[in-house]
Amino acid sequence: MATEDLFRERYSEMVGLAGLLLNDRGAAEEVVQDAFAKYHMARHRVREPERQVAYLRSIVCNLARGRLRRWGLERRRQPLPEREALPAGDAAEARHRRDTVAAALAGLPRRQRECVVLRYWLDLSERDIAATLGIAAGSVKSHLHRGLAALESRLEDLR
Amino acid sequence: MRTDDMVREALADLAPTAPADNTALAGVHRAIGRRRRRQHVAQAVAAVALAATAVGTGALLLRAEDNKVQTGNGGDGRPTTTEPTTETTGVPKPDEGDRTQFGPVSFVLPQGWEATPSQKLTDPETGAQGDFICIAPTDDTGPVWEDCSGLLIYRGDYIPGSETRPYEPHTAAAWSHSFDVPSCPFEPPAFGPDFDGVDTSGALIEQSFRPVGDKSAYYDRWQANCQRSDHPFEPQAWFLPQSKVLVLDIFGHPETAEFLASFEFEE
Repeated sequence: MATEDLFRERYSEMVGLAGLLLNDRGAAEEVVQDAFAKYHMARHRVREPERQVAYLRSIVCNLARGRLRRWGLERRRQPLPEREALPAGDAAEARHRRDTVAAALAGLPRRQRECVVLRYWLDLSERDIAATLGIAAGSVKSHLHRGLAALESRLEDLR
Repeated sequence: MRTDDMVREALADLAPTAPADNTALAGVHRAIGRRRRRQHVAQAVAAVALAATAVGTGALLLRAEDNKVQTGNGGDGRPTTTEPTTETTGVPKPDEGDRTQFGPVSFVLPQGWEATPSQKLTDPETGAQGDFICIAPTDDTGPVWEDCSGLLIYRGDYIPGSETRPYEPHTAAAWSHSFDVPSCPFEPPAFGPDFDGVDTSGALIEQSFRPVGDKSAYYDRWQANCQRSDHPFEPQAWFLPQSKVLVLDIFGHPETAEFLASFEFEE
């Protein structure tokens, strides 16, 4: 698949992924645009169409990790920026739930956060997550287990 | 609501969306341009080095802005004693052939090896700068680490360590500078489910002092392994904090001991 076709098909998804890892939409777009550039310049390495998206996803995760590293831990742990006000009632409750989950996610260690986002947002299998992050499938299982346990305790008051 | 369902719902709500429009595509093109410019700079420096070598003069001096590699007959590096203790190496000094100058040090390349032009490095956090070269056998087709099949030599105010933090001897993973999971250097590149990453978190299995020229350097050796292909290897590093020089040998070359014995330091 040509880079531009892949871009049309996957850009929004990759911005979502980077946004969840970075908590910053502007930075997410920069990272994803750079990821497509990196992909484009190395595209000859990946001939099988089914691996192109996985490769692109790996680049996004790696570049997001680099960006977090440069920002330092302090910025990473800042809460998400406020969103526009929503009507009261169910919407307000949904926003409260979302913000609480966001804060809990932001408090997770990097690997746990990456595994949780790849599993529960992109619905990747543990094997695909392992391939994306370049770690063992057993490590993914462990990160997911710990991440979800940490979230469970932090989200207790939402039940 | 179950925790995983709650997380799924919240993530779907939290994930930013962005259209794949022409503005975003222009951003990709700009990013490609930036990457190509960086690539062209590196290629231009390499071309200058190649052209100068082809001239075949006895003494060559190559300069490209901030990059510097000097090669010459009988260079003027003088031994100094500014580093910690000196140890007896037991390794004979190589014959004084062409010496390669790199910042405050000069050395004799192993026979059949060559040095690449230097490349600049900047600490992403402090802006401190350094540079590095690769020395490797000419036309080597062996495994490659950081685009280098031989030894990596760093110098300057910024010498990268673990995940680009400044180098610290006797610490875990100080030999692996990338925050990416590196691809196994012994296998063809593979992506997706076949990706063979290097586990860089292996133990520090030796830490001591070892000679480099007539100085004593911090020496470290780590365990590393390719996760899928189970290919273990042992990166080694020699670090001279006063001279601000680091030598990395990822693959354990037989020429390394003699090469290190050839080091001379300018005052």
